[in-house]
Amino acid sequence: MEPQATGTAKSDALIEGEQSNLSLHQSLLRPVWQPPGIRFWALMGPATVLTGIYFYSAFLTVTRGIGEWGNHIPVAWAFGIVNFVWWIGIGHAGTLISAILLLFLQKWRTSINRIAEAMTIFAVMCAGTFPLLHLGRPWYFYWLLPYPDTMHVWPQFKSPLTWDVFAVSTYLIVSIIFWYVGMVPDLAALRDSSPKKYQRALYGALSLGWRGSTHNWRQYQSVYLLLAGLATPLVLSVHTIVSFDFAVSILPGWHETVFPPYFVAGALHSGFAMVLMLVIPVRWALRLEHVITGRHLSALAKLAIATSWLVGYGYAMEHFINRYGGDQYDVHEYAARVTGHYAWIWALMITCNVLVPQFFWSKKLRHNTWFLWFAALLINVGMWCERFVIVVLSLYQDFIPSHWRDYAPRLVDLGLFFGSMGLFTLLFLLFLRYLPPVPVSDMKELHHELKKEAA
Amino acid sequence: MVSPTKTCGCESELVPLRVGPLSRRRFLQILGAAGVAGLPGCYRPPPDPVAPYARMPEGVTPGNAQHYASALAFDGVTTGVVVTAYEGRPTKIEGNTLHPASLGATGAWEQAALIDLYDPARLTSVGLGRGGIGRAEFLEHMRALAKRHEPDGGAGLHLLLAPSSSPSVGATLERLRARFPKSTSHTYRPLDRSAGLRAARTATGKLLATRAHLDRADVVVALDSDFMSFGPERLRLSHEWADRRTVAKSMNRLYVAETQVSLMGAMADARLPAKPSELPRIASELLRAVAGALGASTPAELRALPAANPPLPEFARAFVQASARDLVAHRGRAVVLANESADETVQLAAFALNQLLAGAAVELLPPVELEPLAGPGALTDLVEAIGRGEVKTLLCTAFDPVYTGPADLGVRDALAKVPELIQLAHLADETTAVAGVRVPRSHPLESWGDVRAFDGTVSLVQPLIAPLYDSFTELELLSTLADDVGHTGYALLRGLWQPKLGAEFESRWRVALQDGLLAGSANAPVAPNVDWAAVAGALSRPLPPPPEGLELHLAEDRKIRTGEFTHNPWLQECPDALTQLAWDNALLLNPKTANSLGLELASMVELSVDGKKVVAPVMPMPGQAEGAVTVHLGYGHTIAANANERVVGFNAFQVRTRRAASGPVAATLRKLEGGYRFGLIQIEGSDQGRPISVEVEASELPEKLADLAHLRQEHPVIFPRYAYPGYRWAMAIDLSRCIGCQACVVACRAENNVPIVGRDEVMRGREMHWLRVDRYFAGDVSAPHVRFHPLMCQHCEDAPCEYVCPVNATVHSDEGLNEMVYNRCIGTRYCSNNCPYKVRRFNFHAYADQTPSTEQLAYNPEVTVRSRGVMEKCSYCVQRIERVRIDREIAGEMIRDGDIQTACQQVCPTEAIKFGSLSDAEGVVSTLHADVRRYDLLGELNTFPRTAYLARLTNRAKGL
Repeated sequence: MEPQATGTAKSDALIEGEQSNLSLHQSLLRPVWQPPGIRFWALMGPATVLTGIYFYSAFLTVTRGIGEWGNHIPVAWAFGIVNFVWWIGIGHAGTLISAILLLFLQKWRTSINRIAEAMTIFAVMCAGTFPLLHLGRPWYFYWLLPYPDTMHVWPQFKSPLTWDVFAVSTYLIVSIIFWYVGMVPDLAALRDSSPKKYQRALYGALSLGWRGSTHNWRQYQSVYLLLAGLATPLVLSVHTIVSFDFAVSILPGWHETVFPPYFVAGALHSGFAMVLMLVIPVRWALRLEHVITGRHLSALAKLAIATSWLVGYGYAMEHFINRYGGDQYDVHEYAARVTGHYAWIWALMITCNVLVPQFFWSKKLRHNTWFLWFAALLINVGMWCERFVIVVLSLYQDFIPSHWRDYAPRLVDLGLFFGSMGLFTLLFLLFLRYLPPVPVSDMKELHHELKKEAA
Repeated sequence: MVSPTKTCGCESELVPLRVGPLSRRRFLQILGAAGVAGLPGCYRPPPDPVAPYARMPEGVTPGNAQHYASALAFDGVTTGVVVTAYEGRPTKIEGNTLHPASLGATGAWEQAALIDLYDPARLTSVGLGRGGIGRAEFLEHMRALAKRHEPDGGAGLHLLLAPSSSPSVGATLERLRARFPKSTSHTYRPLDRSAGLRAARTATGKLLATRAHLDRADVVVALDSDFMSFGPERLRLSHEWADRRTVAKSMNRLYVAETQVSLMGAMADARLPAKPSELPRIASELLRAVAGALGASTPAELRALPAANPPLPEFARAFVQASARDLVAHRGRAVVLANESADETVQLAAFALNQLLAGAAVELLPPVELEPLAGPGALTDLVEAIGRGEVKTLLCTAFDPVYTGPADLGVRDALAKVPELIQLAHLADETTAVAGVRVPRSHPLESWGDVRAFDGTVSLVQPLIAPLYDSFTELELLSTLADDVGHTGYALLRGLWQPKLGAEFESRWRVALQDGLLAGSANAPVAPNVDWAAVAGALSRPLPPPPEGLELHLAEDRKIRTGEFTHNPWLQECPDALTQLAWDNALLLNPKTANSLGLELASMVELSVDGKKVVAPVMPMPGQAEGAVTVHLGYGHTIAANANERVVGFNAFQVRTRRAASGPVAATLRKLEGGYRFGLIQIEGSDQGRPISVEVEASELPEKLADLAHLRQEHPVIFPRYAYPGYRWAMAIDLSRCIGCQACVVACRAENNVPIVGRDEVMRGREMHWLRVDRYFAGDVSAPHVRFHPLMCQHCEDAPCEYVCPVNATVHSDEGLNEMVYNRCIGTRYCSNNCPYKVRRFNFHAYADQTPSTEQLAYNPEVTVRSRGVMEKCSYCVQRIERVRIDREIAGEMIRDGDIQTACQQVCPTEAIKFGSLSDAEGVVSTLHADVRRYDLLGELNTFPRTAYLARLTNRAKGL
């Protein structure tokens, strides 16, 4: 039976059309079993090329050194860290959607949580490569870990970079476990509907012997809830710690107490935007409009309004504290952002992050998928600009004017940045190809709940 | 430990050992082989006996440095040096405290001369035609040449010599002239520095050099004379001048009139930017004003001098009046310096002023050069002789006449016509291209010789290492013609000095080698009669009318001179003190002049002078005289052996016609399309009003004490501070003394194996200097205030870099050093971001691996060579601290004040940098840290820097 792809962006329902267990089952597993179409390969091609560029750029960086990048003294951190913070920020929405919204019993999370979680994992993976490549001697990255070393040398626990290692790796591990545990029932469903033997073996192994028994379900529910509880503080902690990379320093523009909440808000802002950017084409390409409806998109857009105000508050506080504090180095640093050579980046940041989301107040625009997608893109551009403003524009003119120097990226910087988008897209496409993008069992459960409510 | 070298083929611990595929057995085999085979291969003792300076280890103890006195000469006049060698490799040059031109210090040139020894592009064997010949063949060639010239008394034999003061070269030339009475010698130097001698001859009938004692001068007026950058006395004069800058009550005052901003212009209390054509008028107006003020006590002829025509502008007249008043008020303690000026009017006026005013602050000395009047004119004579077909054989030891010769003389074509052109050269250059015989020149560190200081003091040049290549010194090459058999430098030197030193020759020879000079060989000052009528007559002669429009000002480069150091990476990468430009030169214009011509930073222009043209990038330079175009010579070589990236800049010699070399000429600029990329070490020129390089007017010091105290680290802190029970290493930098000469910058590089990154990487902002001298401009672009600020790691007690390093790669010692653990560094660069002083440098690429293998021989074995991806910075020369500690601990003593000198401190000609332990309450550093002028850089950040700065005192002229 063909799924009823009747959903439009204007709908307020969580599940569109007349659905049954079978129709949901078939329509949601179809992307895995149906051979990939031209749309898949059209995206796969550029993603593969970009991934190749990414690895070649990484190869140049590792073999020839950071000198291949545009970094210098004083701008010793630039694209590498900007990209890291940007990607890790994007990764935030996944956990928020899957864990916090689960705890808050938000029903609309169900159909998009797996996409958001996959996005989180791939974004954190992309993010994680940057600090490693960014090292002068990346082959010694393991010195950041507290392993039993014969010379009894440990990492320096006063450094925020050490905290970062723990924060990011914890986040990645918890995200993967959460994602995987949530997928076990669906993997079992894939196993059971596998047309080929090797697929049955593969999905069988991955589904950990799931039998769908009441016992299984009881265990599963409690584990999933516990994991959601564990993951929730991570939403706040990871980007708080990332913000410490800056806030703990003494550099004007970094040394700010507003950073932890401001970073978390910014992370969610970019995360929601990225979910929008992914969900809109996915629901169209995989014909999932009946489960990812206008209500979902609208909810994401409303969240973006909220986070835009949080972010805007951060910008306002920066401005206020800068004026109120009046420290000459801070004042100059802020002026250099707002009026210096890179003022257009600052202006782009304000426009994209604060002004663009205000269009979402309009229900009409909120229900226009084209507009939503484009606005989400702008928010992500704006959030990247924000990280550029924080990282580069604080460094390029600090205390000692004789060392001031402008920054420009070089080809390898651009290769790694755009290449990482390719890598992300590639991983995401593989995910769409081999795993069910929408949780089947959860959707069925939701379907029953909604029916019960309606009754 | 031995640095990696090609010659010994041994892997040292400085190179990461590839232990992966090696078995333990194989590893030990290699280790053993390195121990046995490595060291003898590395050691190249000079074959003749030399005498160590301070300590004499029995034989060579690997790992222990040896120190030998020697001498380096620039334009033939010397600075006494002490050279450090490890296992026979010279690795560092320091000043000789006994030598009058050094006083223990060196300049950037002396520091960088070391790396020329190891230049991979050096000529390595005698070239003949298109091939090469061995030493014996060459000697035979010269003997046959001499035989050919003997019959006619050497009529076709011409010598083009570099300026020299060497007694042994003089004696050899005498023998040569005795053998070839009809031979002709020309002594050539690209720039004329003999105007002062000629002025003295006008006044007294004798060639006399002016020796100023700035320690005795209350007022110094310097006319077109950067005495801090150039000349054989630059180190001594800077030292004497700076000694009078630190105590408000006894401060001297410096007036400067010059075209481009120089070091002394930056230091001036009153500075007048003047076009080249204005300087002679300023000088004679000054003399007129002084003579008028002194009244009846001056010779009547001087009081009757005509007024300058055309008259000076108003601000110049005010400068002249103010400086004249000050000079007269300090009669007997006032000096007018014109050392480096090539203008005879300026020199004559200065000579006269000193006679009237200086008293004991100026002495007159006979010149020390063999040919004191050497200048660009020698080349004109030679080219004319070639044109007449008189020159059969030309022996050229002067520096690159084809490149440095007047643009309109056709030197290249003339020299190409000489049937036998024998050139002695360090590197292949433009002259080499036309020379039939190219003879490699020995570096001074591999040569025997003798040379005089500005006051006549003789220094013996002794080699530290046997010549690396089949090279000759000038002395040895001249001997191949002068003597039937070419003698070695050692034999020639002893042959000359044995009769002069008499019966106790051996012991006096040894002492002279050990001390680096022959005691008592200085010339006595002379007090000639001055012919005032002749002086007034010469000064009354009308000056040529000033050129219309822009005026050209060709200047020797502060770093690479007239091109002698063009291939020297240490100097090329060192920023120019004023332009902050590395690896390049620029056409300097006052910003107002540039504006009026529609030019800005990095615009391209075509500069034409007398029909000769060169394309140059523009740099607007505050303080430059309006309407004057300054270009630095020495860049833009067309041939520089095999290291092409070291050929940089544009060749200003291309517009240096004979007319331009002899007086002010007009220059025209035509704007071209396109731009240029400068390798600027420092881009922002304003200190933004921040208290970075602090200065105080001496008379206002009492009122400013509270402001200075505010800049000191005296804020309350919450946490208990570490007590530092032992030594507490600290530094003090006196900005009153710092003249921005960059000697410390090069010395730091030499001492600490700081790698060269090259021009491209400098443009990308990756230069590696551990120590920089920043330059800030303030005020009007025509009369800016220039401040220098030496900046290196401040060794903060609460260092922001330390707590952010995730791997403990930068840590604090219990003596207060902020230490870098290179082995542990993984290159997060967070420390650099969090360093408020931005003094940390990162190995973005494997810069050390790019050092040519020969230049690696110059590495200081006490300092680790850093790998790619590692942060580095000033260590307060920790290797020197540890060396002294070892010696003192063996002797069971404490380290005393003054035992340790950092490299920057040791080299500093003005003693602006002091180092020691704050635990010694009586020590120099403790005293300076308690000085009222002391302040902490960015002290409000609670970094507790161990380096203290002492605010610069200024002594502004009244009424200007």
